[in-house]
Amino acid sequence: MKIVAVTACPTGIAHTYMAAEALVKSAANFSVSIQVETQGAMGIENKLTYQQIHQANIVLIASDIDIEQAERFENSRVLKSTIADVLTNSDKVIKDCMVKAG
Amino acid sequence: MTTVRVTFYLGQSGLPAWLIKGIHQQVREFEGESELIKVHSLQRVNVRQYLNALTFAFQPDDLCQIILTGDKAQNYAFLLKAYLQKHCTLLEEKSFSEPSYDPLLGQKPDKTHFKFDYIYIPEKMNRLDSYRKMAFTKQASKVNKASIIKRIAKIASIKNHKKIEPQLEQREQISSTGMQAGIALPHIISEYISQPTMVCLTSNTAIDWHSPHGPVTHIITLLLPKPCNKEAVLSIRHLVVNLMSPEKKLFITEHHTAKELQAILTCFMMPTH
Repeated sequence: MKIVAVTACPTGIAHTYMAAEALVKSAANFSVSIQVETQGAMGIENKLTYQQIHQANIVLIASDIDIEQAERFENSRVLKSTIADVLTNSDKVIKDCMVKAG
Repeated sequence: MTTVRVTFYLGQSGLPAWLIKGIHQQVREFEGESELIKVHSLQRVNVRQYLNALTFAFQPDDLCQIILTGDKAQNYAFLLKAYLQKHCTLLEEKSFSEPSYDPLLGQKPDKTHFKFDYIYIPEKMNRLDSYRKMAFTKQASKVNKASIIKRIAKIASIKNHKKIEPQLEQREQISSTGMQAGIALPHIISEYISQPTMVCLTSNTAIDWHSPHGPVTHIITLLLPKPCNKEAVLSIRHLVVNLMSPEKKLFITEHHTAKELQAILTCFMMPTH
């Protein structure tokens, strides 16, 4: 099971990185592989490659804003959530990803 | 049973064996519990088993805290402070004397360059508090989120507070910045902020921050200028990742003094060694 995720929030200095951290921890709890790209005040970090996106079972967009370069995910199975969803219950978001990925 | 916290920065030599032994000697006869904490990682060691502390790889200028819990904690804290003052930089609201930043002991390692402001919201204002000229003249239970945001904006910039206040409110309208464990983290990047600033407010009475995680007692506001520099964003990134740890959130909320909170939050803004 492989998840690729993008986190982004309006200010891009706090919740973007908190959500990324929460997702990595929860994914580890479920023994799921995850790569998280952050789109914050420092720009895009840990940018997902086309290969990583192609190989992922699901793409998670955890964002309160429109993300940059969303066209990369047009042909992927995508689950969208808010940053608040992730910060409130990241385990549930990862579980939802697993269900949607089948 | 009393609990006393003694917070201090190590000197340039970190925590050598002679220093931890000296600390142990000060509290050797203390009948309660004595615990040394390396704040950055929150590693803890019983001062009675002081040699274990040497495995924590203390660095020069590391922030440490000793917690004494017991009937005579105040007395032993006094002895401990007198000892530590000779070898470290003590953090105290009312110091024995002003800390002398001896080059051998090192400088207070505030490498984040954040301006820091602190306000304590008392449960009841008394005459002694009135000199602070704070906006909160009522009981904390009557202090609401809007009045706190207004106050933060004024602290951030007297000149531009009317522009900063709606920016903070807009951010809160997207989603409350309240977190678990009673901490709120309002934050903005603003053209009306001139330098990276942290405004910390604490209250013994929980304040409704309109968050699903419940009310808050510690409001840590992060204000960055626009455009902001990479160092400031990185500092905040380290802080917020640390705030994902329930243990670190709890540790922060156990403190209510400006010097301690500034030191702890600054410490959590540093990268892992």
